[in-house]
Amino acid sequence: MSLDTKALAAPRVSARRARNQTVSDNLWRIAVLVGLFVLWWLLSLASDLVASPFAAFDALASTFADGSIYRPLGATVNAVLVGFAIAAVIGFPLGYVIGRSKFLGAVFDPIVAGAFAIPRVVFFPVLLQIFGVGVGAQAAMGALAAVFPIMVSTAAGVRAVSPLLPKLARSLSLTRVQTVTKIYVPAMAPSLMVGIRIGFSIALINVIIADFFAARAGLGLLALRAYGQLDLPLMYGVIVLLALIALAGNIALWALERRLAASRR
Amino acid sequence: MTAVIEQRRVRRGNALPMKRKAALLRWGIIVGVLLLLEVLTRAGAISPAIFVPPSEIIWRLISIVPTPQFGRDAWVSLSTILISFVIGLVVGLALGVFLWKVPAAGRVLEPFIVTGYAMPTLLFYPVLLALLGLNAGPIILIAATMALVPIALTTMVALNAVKPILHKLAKSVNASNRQYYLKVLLPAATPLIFPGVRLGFIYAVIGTIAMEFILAARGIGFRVGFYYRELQTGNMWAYIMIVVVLSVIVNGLLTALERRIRRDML
Repeated sequence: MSLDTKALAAPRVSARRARNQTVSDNLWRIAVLVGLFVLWWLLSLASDLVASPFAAFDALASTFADGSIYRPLGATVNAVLVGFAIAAVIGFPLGYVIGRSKFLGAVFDPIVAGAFAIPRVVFFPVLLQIFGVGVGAQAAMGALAAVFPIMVSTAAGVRAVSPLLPKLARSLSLTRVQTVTKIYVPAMAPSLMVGIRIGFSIALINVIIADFFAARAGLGLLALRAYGQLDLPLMYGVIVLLALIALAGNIALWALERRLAASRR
Repeated sequence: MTAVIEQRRVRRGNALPMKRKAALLRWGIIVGVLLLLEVLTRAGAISPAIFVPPSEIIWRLISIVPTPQFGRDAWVSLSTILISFVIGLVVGLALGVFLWKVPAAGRVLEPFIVTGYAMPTLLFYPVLLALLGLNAGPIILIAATMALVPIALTTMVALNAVKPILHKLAKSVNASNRQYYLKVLLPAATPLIFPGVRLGFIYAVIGTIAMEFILAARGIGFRVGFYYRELQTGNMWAYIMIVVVLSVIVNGLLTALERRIRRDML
Protein backbone atom coordinates (compact mmCIF):
# COMPACT_ATOMS: atom_id res chain seq x y z
CA MET A 1 0.00 0.00 0.00
CA SER A 2 3.06 2.23 -0.05
CA LEU A 3 2.09 3.42 -3.50
CA ASP A 4 -0.64 5.60 -2.02
CA THR A 5 1.78 7.65 -0.01
CA LYS A 6 4.19 7.86 -2.93
CA ALA A 7 1.43 9.14 -5.19
CA LEU A 8 0.90 12.05 -2.83
CA ALA A 9 4.41 13.42 -3.15
CA ALA A 10 3.52 16.19 -5.56
CA PRO A 11 6.27 18.47 -6.82
CA ARG A 12 6.74 21.67 -4.86
CA VAL A 13 5.19 24.80 -6.28
CA SER A 14 5.17 28.29 -4.90
CA ALA A 15 2.47 28.80 -2.26
CA ARG A 16 0.29 31.13 -4.27
CA ARG A 17 0.41 29.11 -7.47
CA ALA A 18 -0.35 26.04 -5.38
CA ARG A 19 -3.40 27.75 -3.91
CA ASN A 20 -4.66 28.83 -7.34
CA GLN A 21 -4.13 25.32 -8.58
CA THR A 22 -6.07 23.85 -5.67
CA VAL A 23 -8.99 26.17 -6.36
CA SER A 24 -9.10 25.34 -10.06
CA ASP A 25 -8.65 21.62 -9.32
CA ASN A 26 -11.62 21.73 -6.98
CA LEU A 27 -13.70 23.56 -9.60
CA TRP A 28 -12.80 20.84 -12.09
CA ARG A 29 -13.77 18.18 -9.58
CA ILE A 30 -17.18 19.81 -9.16
CA ALA A 31 -17.44 19.93 -12.96
CA VAL A 32 -16.77 16.18 -13.07
CA LEU A 33 -19.59 15.58 -10.58
CA VAL A 34 -21.96 17.78 -12.59
CA GLY A 35 -20.91 15.92 -15.76
CA LEU A 36 -21.72 12.58 -14.14
CA PHE A 37 -25.11 13.93 -13.11
CA VAL A 38 -25.86 15.09 -16.67
CA LEU A 39 -24.72 11.74 -18.03
CA TRP A 40 -27.05 9.96 -15.63
CA TRP A 41 -29.92 12.23 -16.71
CA LEU A 42 -29.24 11.50 -20.40
CA LEU A 43 -29.14 7.76 -19.67
CA SER A 44 -32.48 8.01 -17.88
CA LEU A 45 -33.97 9.60 -21.00
CA ALA A 46 -32.59 6.78 -23.13
CA SER A 47 -33.57 3.80 -20.98
CA ASP A 48 -36.61 2.83 -18.93
CA LEU A 49 -34.36 0.89 -16.57
CA VAL A 50 -32.59 4.03 -15.38
CA ALA A 51 -34.66 6.31 -13.17
CA SER A 52 -34.14 10.02 -13.65
CA PRO A 53 -31.86 11.65 -11.08
CA PHE A 54 -34.63 14.02 -10.02
CA ALA A 55 -37.01 11.15 -9.27
CA ALA A 56 -34.23 9.37 -7.38
CA PHE A 57 -33.50 12.40 -5.19
CA ASP A 58 -37.24 12.87 -4.63
CA ALA A 59 -37.64 9.27 -3.50
CA LEU A 60 -34.61 9.61 -1.23
CA ALA A 61 -35.90 12.89 0.25
CA SER A 62 -39.29 11.36 0.99
CA THR A 63 -37.69 8.47 2.91
CA PHE A 64 -35.89 11.09 5.01
CA ALA A 65 -39.15 13.03 5.43
CA ASP A 66 -41.16 10.05 6.68
CA GLY A 67 -38.20 8.73 8.67
CA SER A 68 -38.15 5.29 7.03
CA ILE A 69 -34.50 5.69 5.99
CA TYR A 70 -33.13 6.03 9.52
CA ARG A 71 -33.35 2.36 10.54
CA PRO A 72 -31.46 0.94 7.51
CA LEU A 73 -29.05 3.90 7.48
CA GLY A 74 -28.38 3.47 11.20
CA ALA A 75 -27.88 -0.29 10.83
CA THR A 76 -25.33 0.08 8.02
CA VAL A 77 -23.40 2.96 9.61
CA ASN A 78 -23.44 1.16 12.97
CA ALA A 79 -22.11 -2.09 11.46
CA VAL A 80 -19.35 -0.29 9.56
CA LEU A 81 -18.23 1.76 12.58
CA VAL A 82 -18.31 -1.13 15.06
CA GLY A 83 -16.65 -3.50 12.57
CA PHE A 84 -13.95 -0.98 11.77
CA ALA A 85 -13.34 -0.25 15.47
CA ILE A 86 -12.89 -3.98 16.22
CA ALA A 87 -10.56 -4.35 13.23
CA ALA A 88 -8.53 -1.33 14.37
CA VAL A 89 -8.20 -2.58 17.97
CA ILE A 90 -6.94 -5.97 16.72
CA GLY A 91 -5.16 -4.95 13.52
CA PHE A 92 -2.98 -2.03 14.61
CA PRO A 93 -1.25 -3.78 17.56
CA LEU A 94 -0.81 -7.07 15.68
CA GLY A 95 0.50 -5.26 12.59
CA TYR A 96 2.90 -3.32 14.83
CA VAL A 97 4.23 -6.49 16.48
CA ILE A 98 4.66 -8.26 13.13
CA GLY A 99 6.40 -5.22 11.70
CA ARG A 100 8.78 -4.78 14.63
CA SER A 101 10.09 -8.33 14.82
CA LYS A 102 11.88 -9.78 11.82
CA PHE A 103 11.16 -13.34 12.94
CA LEU A 104 7.45 -12.83 13.62
CA GLY A 105 7.25 -11.02 10.28
CA ALA A 106 8.76 -14.02 8.51
CA VAL A 107 6.30 -16.31 10.30
CA PHE A 108 3.08 -14.35 9.82
CA ASP A 109 3.60 -12.27 6.64
CA PRO A 110 2.59 -15.07 4.25
CA ILE A 111 -0.47 -15.88 6.37
CA VAL A 112 -1.61 -12.24 6.45
CA ALA A 113 -0.90 -11.77 2.72
CA GLY A 114 -2.79 -14.98 1.92
CA ALA A 115 -5.74 -13.90 4.07
CA PHE A 116 -5.69 -10.53 2.29
CA ALA A 117 -6.18 -12.32 -1.04
CA ILE A 118 -9.17 -14.39 0.11
CA PRO A 119 -12.65 -13.02 -0.64
CA ARG A 120 -13.52 -12.85 3.06
CA VAL A 121 -17.21 -12.50 2.31
CA VAL A 122 -17.53 -16.28 1.81
CA PHE A 123 -17.20 -16.57 5.59
CA PHE A 124 -20.38 -14.56 6.07
CA PRO A 125 -22.65 -17.64 6.32
CA VAL A 126 -20.52 -18.86 9.23
CA LEU A 127 -20.83 -15.46 10.93
CA LEU A 128 -24.59 -15.69 10.43
CA GLN A 129 -24.58 -19.04 12.23
CA ILE A 130 -22.59 -17.58 15.11
CA PHE A 131 -24.23 -14.15 15.54
CA GLY A 132 -27.64 -14.72 13.97
CA VAL A 133 -29.09 -12.47 11.29
CA GLY A 134 -28.62 -8.86 12.36
CA VAL A 135 -26.19 -6.02 12.92
CA GLY A 136 -23.85 -8.30 14.91
CA ALA A 137 -23.09 -10.51 11.92
CA GLN A 138 -22.72 -7.43 9.69
CA ALA A 139 -20.27 -5.79 12.09
CA ALA A 140 -18.28 -9.03 12.40
CA MET A 141 -18.10 -9.17 8.60
CA GLY A 142 -16.77 -5.61 8.47
CA ALA A 143 -14.17 -6.43 11.14
CA LEU A 144 -13.02 -9.62 9.39
CA ALA A 145 -12.71 -7.76 6.10
CA ALA A 146 -10.85 -4.72 7.45
CA VAL A 147 -8.42 -6.35 9.87
CA PHE A 148 -5.98 -7.73 7.27
CA PRO A 149 -5.50 -4.55 5.21
CA ILE A 150 -4.95 -2.66 8.48
CA MET A 151 -2.34 -5.21 9.60
CA VAL A 152 -0.57 -5.10 6.22
CA SER A 153 -0.24 -1.32 6.11
CA THR A 154 0.70 -1.02 9.81
CA ALA A 155 3.46 -3.62 9.40
CA ALA A 156 4.68 -1.86 6.24
CA GLY A 157 4.65 1.44 8.13
CA VAL A 158 6.73 0.10 11.02
CA ARG A 159 9.27 -1.33 8.59
CA ALA A 160 9.57 2.01 6.82
CA VAL A 161 10.47 3.87 10.05
CA SER A 162 14.04 5.11 9.84
CA PRO A 163 16.36 2.96 12.00
CA LEU A 164 17.75 6.17 13.49
CA LEU A 165 14.52 6.91 15.37
CA PRO A 166 14.62 3.91 17.77
CA LYS A 167 18.26 4.84 18.49
CA LEU A 168 17.12 8.37 19.28
CA ALA A 169 14.52 6.93 21.66
CA ARG A 170 17.17 4.87 23.39
CA SER A 171 19.55 7.81 23.70
CA LEU A 172 16.75 9.84 25.29
CA SER A 173 16.02 6.81 27.52
CA LEU A 174 12.32 6.90 26.73
CA THR A 175 10.08 4.25 28.24
CA ARG A 176 8.49 1.61 26.03
CA VAL A 177 5.14 3.38 25.93
CA GLN A 178 6.81 6.70 25.16
CA THR A 179 8.82 5.11 22.34
CA VAL A 180 5.62 3.87 20.74
CA THR A 181 3.50 6.99 21.23
CA LYS A 182 6.15 9.69 20.76
CA ILE A 183 8.42 8.10 18.14
CA TYR A 184 6.70 5.32 16.20
CA VAL A 185 3.15 6.63 15.90
CA PRO A 186 4.13 10.08 14.53
CA ALA A 187 6.67 8.54 12.15
CA MET A 188 4.10 6.03 10.93
CA ALA A 189 1.20 8.49 10.66
CA PRO A 190 0.97 8.43 6.84
CA SER A 191 0.86 4.65 6.54
CA LEU A 192 -1.54 4.44 9.48
CA MET A 193 -3.82 6.81 7.58
CA VAL A 194 -3.60 4.57 4.51
CA GLY A 195 -4.55 1.65 6.73
CA ILE A 196 -7.50 3.55 8.18
CA ARG A 197 -8.75 4.64 4.76
CA ILE A 198 -8.47 1.24 3.12
CA GLY A 199 -9.79 -0.57 6.20
CA PHE A 200 -12.78 1.74 6.29
CA SER A 201 -13.53 1.29 2.58
CA ILE A 202 -13.28 -2.47 2.75
CA ALA A 203 -15.47 -2.62 5.87
CA LEU A 204 -18.12 -0.55 4.07
CA ILE A 205 -18.03 -2.69 0.91
CA ASN A 206 -18.26 -5.94 2.85
CA VAL A 207 -21.07 -4.77 5.12
CA ILE A 208 -23.07 -3.93 1.99
CA ILE A 209 -22.30 -7.29 0.33
CA ALA A 210 -23.41 -8.92 3.60
CA ASP A 211 -26.59 -6.81 3.47
CA PHE A 212 -27.33 -8.24 0.05
CA PHE A 213 -26.95 -11.78 1.36
CA ALA A 214 -28.97 -11.65 4.58
CA ALA A 215 -29.85 -8.81 6.94
CA ARG A 216 -32.66 -7.46 9.08
CA ALA A 217 -32.05 -3.87 8.05
CA GLY A 218 -29.45 -2.03 6.02
CA LEU A 219 -28.99 0.19 2.99
CA GLY A 220 -27.95 -2.74 0.78
CA LEU A 221 -31.10 -4.61 1.76
CA LEU A 222 -33.21 -1.48 1.13
CA ALA A 223 -31.75 -1.11 -2.38
CA LEU A 224 -32.34 -4.78 -3.12
CA ARG A 225 -35.95 -4.59 -1.85
CA ALA A 226 -36.63 -1.48 -3.90
CA TYR A 227 -35.32 -3.34 -6.95
CA GLY A 228 -37.55 -6.31 -6.12
CA GLN A 229 -40.60 -4.03 -5.98
CA LEU A 230 -39.45 -2.27 -9.16
CA ASP A 231 -39.29 0.99 -7.19
CA LEU A 232 -36.37 2.13 -9.35
CA PRO A 233 -36.24 5.78 -8.14
CA LEU A 234 -35.78 4.60 -4.54
CA MET A 235 -33.15 2.05 -5.58
CA TYR A 236 -31.12 4.72 -7.39
CA GLY A 237 -31.67 7.08 -4.47
CA VAL A 238 -30.17 4.56 -2.03
CA ILE A 239 -27.26 3.92 -4.41
CA VAL A 240 -26.59 7.67 -4.52
CA LEU A 241 -26.73 7.87 -0.73
CA LEU A 242 -24.22 5.03 -0.38
CA ALA A 243 -21.95 6.49 -3.04
CA LEU A 244 -22.08 9.84 -1.23
CA ILE A 245 -21.18 8.17 2.08
CA ALA A 246 -18.23 6.43 0.43
CA LEU A 247 -17.12 9.57 -1.42
CA ALA A 248 -17.46 11.89 1.58
CA GLY A 249 -15.67 9.51 3.95
CA ASN A 250 -12.90 8.89 1.45
CA ILE A 251 -12.35 12.51 0.53
CA ALA A 252 -12.24 13.48 4.22
CA LEU A 253 -9.65 10.78 5.01
CA TRP A 254 -7.75 11.51 1.79
CA ALA A 255 -7.56 15.23 2.58
CA LEU A 256 -6.39 14.47 6.13
CA GLU A 257 -3.75 12.14 4.67
CA ARG A 258 -2.54 14.87 2.30
CA ARG A 259 -2.36 17.40 5.10
CA LEU A 260 -0.34 15.00 7.26
CA ALA A 261 2.01 14.31 4.35
CA ALA A 262 2.37 18.05 3.63
CA SER A 263 3.03 19.01 7.25
CA ARG A 264 5.87 16.51 7.39
CA ARG A 265 7.82 18.16 4.61
CA MET B 1 33.54 -7.10 -5.69
CA THR B 2 34.42 -10.43 -4.16
CA ALA B 3 34.00 -8.87 -0.74
CA VAL B 4 30.43 -7.92 -1.61
CA ILE B 5 29.65 -11.42 -2.84
CA GLU B 6 31.27 -12.86 0.25
CA GLN B 7 29.19 -10.60 2.45
CA ARG B 8 26.02 -11.52 0.62
CA ARG B 9 26.78 -15.20 1.03
CA VAL B 10 27.32 -14.69 4.73
CA ARG B 11 24.08 -12.77 5.06
CA ARG B 12 22.19 -15.41 3.14
CA GLY B 13 23.75 -18.08 5.30
CA ASN B 14 22.37 -16.35 8.35
CA ALA B 15 19.00 -15.61 6.80
CA LEU B 16 18.20 -19.13 5.64
CA PRO B 17 17.89 -20.89 9.02
CA MET B 18 15.78 -17.98 10.31
CA LYS B 19 13.47 -18.29 7.30
CA ARG B 20 13.33 -22.04 7.64
CA LYS B 21 12.55 -21.77 11.33
CA ALA B 22 9.83 -19.22 10.56
CA ALA B 23 8.31 -21.48 7.89
CA LEU B 24 8.40 -24.40 10.30
CA LEU B 25 6.67 -22.38 13.01
CA ARG B 26 4.12 -21.09 10.49
CA TRP B 27 3.15 -24.58 9.35
CA GLY B 28 3.18 -25.71 12.95
CA ILE B 29 0.64 -23.01 13.81
CA ILE B 30 -1.56 -23.89 10.83
CA VAL B 31 -1.52 -27.61 11.57
CA GLY B 32 -2.01 -26.92 15.29
CA VAL B 33 -5.10 -24.79 14.62
CA LEU B 34 -6.53 -27.49 12.35
CA LEU B 35 -5.90 -30.19 14.98
CA LEU B 36 -7.46 -28.03 17.68
CA LEU B 37 -10.54 -27.50 15.49
CA GLU B 38 -10.69 -31.24 14.84
CA VAL B 39 -10.63 -32.02 18.57
CA LEU B 40 -13.10 -29.26 19.50
CA THR B 41 -15.62 -30.26 16.81
CA ARG B 42 -15.31 -33.98 17.59
CA ALA B 43 -15.79 -33.25 21.29
CA GLY B 44 -18.86 -31.16 20.49
CA ALA B 45 -17.47 -27.89 21.87
CA ILE B 46 -18.18 -26.23 18.50
CA SER B 47 -21.66 -26.77 17.09
CA PRO B 48 -21.68 -28.86 13.87
CA ALA B 49 -23.95 -26.18 12.38
CA ILE B 50 -21.00 -23.78 12.51
CA PHE B 51 -17.97 -25.90 11.75
CA VAL B 52 -17.36 -29.47 10.70
CA PRO B 53 -14.15 -31.36 11.56
CA PRO B 54 -11.30 -30.55 9.10
CA SER B 55 -10.89 -34.26 8.31
CA GLU B 56 -14.50 -34.36 7.16
CA ILE B 57 -13.94 -31.27 4.98
CA ILE B 58 -11.10 -33.14 3.28
CA TRP B 59 -13.37 -36.15 2.64
CA ARG B 60 -16.04 -33.88 1.21
CA LEU B 61 -13.44 -32.23 -1.04
CA ILE B 62 -12.34 -35.62 -2.34
CA SER B 63 -15.93 -36.49 -3.23
CA ILE B 64 -16.75 -33.03 -4.66
CA VAL B 65 -13.76 -32.29 -6.87
CA PRO B 66 -14.27 -35.09 -9.48
CA THR B 67 -17.96 -34.24 -10.04
CA PRO B 68 -18.96 -32.53 -13.32
CA GLN B 69 -20.86 -29.92 -11.29
CA PHE B 70 -17.59 -28.82 -9.68
CA GLY B 71 -15.92 -28.75 -13.10
CA ARG B 72 -18.62 -26.44 -14.43
CA ASP B 73 -18.51 -24.14 -11.39
CA ALA B 74 -14.72 -23.93 -11.44
CA TRP B 75 -14.72 -23.24 -15.19
CA VAL B 76 -17.32 -20.46 -14.81
CA SER B 77 -15.47 -18.81 -11.92
CA LEU B 78 -12.00 -19.08 -13.44
CA SER B 79 -13.07 -17.80 -16.87
CA THR B 80 -14.97 -14.91 -15.26
CA ILE B 81 -11.90 -14.01 -13.18
CA LEU B 82 -9.60 -14.13 -16.20
CA ILE B 83 -11.88 -12.10 -18.49
CA SER B 84 -12.44 -9.48 -15.76
CA PHE B 85 -8.72 -9.26 -15.10
CA VAL B 86 -7.84 -8.85 -18.79
CA ILE B 87 -10.45 -6.09 -19.22
CA GLY B 88 -9.26 -4.42 -15.99
CA LEU B 89 -5.64 -4.66 -17.15
CA VAL B 90 -6.22 -3.17 -20.61
CA VAL B 91 -8.50 -0.35 -19.41
CA GLY B 92 -6.42 0.26 -16.28
CA LEU B 93 -3.16 0.58 -18.23
CA ALA B 94 -4.80 2.92 -20.75
CA LEU B 95 -6.29 5.03 -17.96
CA GLY B 96 -2.94 5.11 -16.13
CA VAL B 97 -1.12 6.27 -19.28
CA PHE B 98 -3.78 8.95 -19.80
CA LEU B 99 -3.48 10.18 -16.20
CA TRP B 100 0.29 10.37 -16.64
CA LYS B 101 0.14 12.13 -20.03
CA VAL B 102 -2.33 14.74 -18.76
CA PRO B 103 -1.13 15.55 -15.22
CA ALA B 104 -4.01 17.99 -14.62
CA ALA B 105 -6.52 15.20 -15.25
CA GLY B 106 -4.53 12.99 -12.89
CA ARG B 107 -4.71 15.60 -10.14
CA VAL B 108 -8.40 16.35 -10.63
CA LEU B 109 -9.53 12.74 -10.94
CA GLU B 110 -7.30 11.24 -8.24
CA PRO B 111 -9.78 11.59 -5.36
CA PHE B 112 -12.47 9.96 -7.48
CA ILE B 113 -10.22 7.09 -8.47
CA VAL B 114 -8.99 6.64 -4.91
CA THR B 115 -12.66 6.48 -3.91
CA GLY B 116 -12.91 3.68 -6.44
CA TYR B 117 -11.26 1.56 -3.77
CA ALA B 118 -14.17 2.33 -1.46
CA MET B 119 -16.98 2.69 -3.92
CA PRO B 120 -19.15 -0.35 -3.47
CA THR B 121 -19.39 -0.88 -7.24
CA LEU B 122 -21.44 -3.96 -6.53
CA LEU B 123 -24.31 -1.63 -5.63
CA PHE B 124 -24.83 -1.24 -9.32
CA TYR B 125 -25.47 -4.96 -9.53
CA PRO B 126 -29.27 -4.58 -9.69
CA VAL B 127 -28.87 -1.87 -12.33
CA LEU B 128 -26.48 -3.95 -14.40
CA LEU B 129 -28.70 -6.97 -13.93
CA ALA B 130 -31.54 -4.95 -15.39
CA LEU B 131 -29.39 -3.65 -18.25
CA LEU B 132 -27.37 -6.75 -19.14
CA GLY B 133 -29.55 -9.59 -17.85
CA LEU B 134 -28.81 -12.50 -15.54
CA ASN B 135 -25.56 -13.72 -17.08
CA ALA B 136 -21.84 -13.28 -16.52
CA GLY B 137 -21.94 -9.69 -17.88
CA PRO B 138 -22.67 -7.78 -14.65
CA ILE B 139 -20.16 -9.83 -12.65
CA ILE B 140 -17.44 -9.31 -15.24
CA LEU B 141 -18.12 -5.59 -15.36
CA ILE B 142 -17.99 -5.18 -11.57
CA ALA B 143 -14.89 -7.37 -11.09
CA ALA B 144 -13.15 -5.58 -13.98
CA THR B 145 -13.90 -2.18 -12.40
CA MET B 146 -12.44 -3.36 -9.11
CA ALA B 147 -9.31 -4.69 -10.86
CA LEU B 148 -8.87 -1.51 -12.89
CA VAL B 149 -8.38 0.92 -9.99
CA PRO B 150 -5.07 -0.30 -8.52
CA ILE B 151 -3.69 -0.96 -12.02
CA ALA B 152 -4.48 2.58 -13.21
CA LEU B 153 -3.07 4.19 -10.04
CA THR B 154 0.22 2.26 -10.04
CA THR B 155 0.65 2.80 -13.78
CA MET B 156 0.39 6.54 -13.26
CA VAL B 157 2.81 6.50 -10.33
CA ALA B 158 5.25 4.18 -12.16
CA LEU B 159 5.34 6.29 -15.32
CA ASN B 160 5.90 9.42 -13.24
CA ALA B 161 8.85 7.66 -11.62
CA VAL B 162 10.59 6.81 -14.93
CA LYS B 163 13.97 8.55 -14.94
CA PRO B 164 13.97 11.74 -17.04
CA ILE B 165 17.17 10.60 -18.75
CA LEU B 166 15.25 7.78 -20.43
CA HIS B 167 12.89 10.26 -22.09
CA LYS B 168 15.92 12.21 -23.32
CA LEU B 169 17.56 9.04 -24.54
CA ALA B 170 14.48 8.10 -26.55
CA LYS B 171 14.40 11.54 -28.11
CA SER B 172 18.12 11.54 -28.91
CA VAL B 173 17.91 8.22 -30.76
CA ASN B 174 14.80 9.40 -32.62
CA ALA B 175 12.64 6.61 -31.27
CA SER B 176 9.23 6.32 -32.89
CA ASN B 177 6.18 6.60 -30.67
CA ARG B 178 5.74 2.85 -30.72
CA GLN B 179 9.38 2.23 -29.84
CA TYR B 180 9.18 4.86 -27.11
CA TYR B 181 6.28 3.09 -25.39
CA LEU B 182 7.26 -0.53 -25.98
CA LYS B 183 11.06 -0.38 -25.72
CA VAL B 184 11.61 2.44 -23.23
CA LEU B 185 8.59 3.06 -21.01
CA LEU B 186 7.31 -0.51 -20.73
CA PRO B 187 10.55 -2.11 -19.51
CA ALA B 188 11.33 0.85 -17.24
CA ALA B 189 7.92 0.95 -15.58
CA THR B 190 7.03 -2.76 -15.42
CA PRO B 191 8.68 -3.52 -12.06
CA LEU B 192 6.76 -0.65 -10.48
CA ILE B 193 3.48 -1.45 -12.23
CA PHE B 194 3.53 -5.12 -11.30
CA PRO B 195 2.43 -4.73 -7.64
CA GLY B 196 -0.65 -2.90 -8.93
CA VAL B 197 -1.30 -5.65 -11.48
CA ARG B 198 -1.01 -8.22 -8.71
CA LEU B 199 -3.50 -6.30 -6.57
CA GLY B 200 -5.76 -5.98 -9.62
CA PHE B 201 -5.76 -9.74 -10.11
CA ILE B 202 -6.56 -10.31 -6.43
CA TYR B 203 -9.42 -7.81 -6.70
CA ALA B 204 -10.72 -9.61 -9.80
CA VAL B 205 -10.79 -12.84 -7.75
CA ILE B 206 -12.48 -11.13 -4.79
CA GLY B 207 -15.01 -9.32 -6.99
CA THR B 208 -15.93 -12.42 -8.96
CA ILE B 209 -16.32 -14.76 -5.99
CA ALA B 210 -18.16 -12.15 -3.90
CA MET B 211 -20.63 -11.36 -6.69
CA GLU B 212 -21.23 -15.05 -7.37
CA PHE B 213 -21.79 -15.48 -3.67
CA ILE B 214 -24.54 -12.86 -3.53
CA LEU B 215 -26.64 -13.35 -6.60
CA ALA B 216 -25.29 -15.61 -9.32
CA ALA B 217 -26.71 -19.04 -10.07
CA ARG B 218 -23.39 -20.69 -10.94
CA GLY B 219 -19.76 -20.60 -9.85
CA ILE B 220 -17.72 -21.49 -6.78
CA GLY B 221 -18.85 -18.43 -4.81
CA PHE B 222 -22.49 -19.28 -5.51
CA ARG B 223 -22.07 -22.81 -4.08
CA VAL B 224 -21.01 -21.44 -0.68
CA GLY B 225 -24.24 -19.48 -0.31
CA PHE B 226 -26.25 -22.29 -1.89
CA TYR B 227 -25.11 -24.92 0.63
CA TYR B 228 -25.60 -22.45 3.48
CA ARG B 229 -29.25 -22.08 2.48
CA GLU B 230 -29.53 -25.86 2.08
CA LEU B 231 -28.12 -26.19 5.61
CA GLN B 232 -25.35 -28.50 4.36
CA THR B 233 -22.56 -27.13 6.54
CA GLY B 234 -20.05 -29.79 5.42
CA ASN B 235 -20.39 -28.98 1.72
CA MET B 236 -20.41 -25.26 2.50
CA TRP B 237 -17.09 -25.56 4.31
CA ALA B 238 -15.67 -27.66 1.47
CA TYR B 239 -16.43 -24.83 -0.99
CA ILE B 240 -15.10 -22.21 1.45
CA MET B 241 -11.86 -24.21 1.56
CA ILE B 242 -11.79 -24.30 -2.25
CA VAL B 243 -12.08 -20.49 -2.30
CA VAL B 244 -9.36 -20.15 0.35
CA VAL B 245 -6.97 -22.53 -1.42
CA LEU B 246 -7.61 -20.91 -4.81
CA SER B 247 -6.89 -17.41 -3.44
CA VAL B 248 -3.78 -18.52 -1.59
CA ILE B 249 -2.42 -20.29 -4.69
CA VAL B 250 -3.12 -17.24 -6.89
CA ASN B 251 -1.45 -14.99 -4.33
CA GLY B 252 1.57 -17.30 -4.08
CA LEU B 253 2.05 -17.49 -7.85
CA LEU B 254 1.79 -13.72 -8.22
CA THR B 255 4.22 -13.15 -5.34
CA ALA B 256 6.75 -15.51 -6.95
CA LEU B 257 6.31 -13.77 -10.31
CA GLU B 258 6.73 -10.37 -8.68
CA ARG B 259 9.93 -11.50 -6.99
CA ARG B 260 11.32 -12.65 -10.33
CA ILE B 261 10.35 -9.43 -12.15
CA ARG B 262 11.78 -7.21 -9.44
CA ARG B 263 14.99 -9.20 -9.30
CA ASP B 264 15.47 -8.43 -12.98
CA MET B 265 15.33 -4.77 -12.07
CA LEU B 266 18.06 -4.99 -9.44
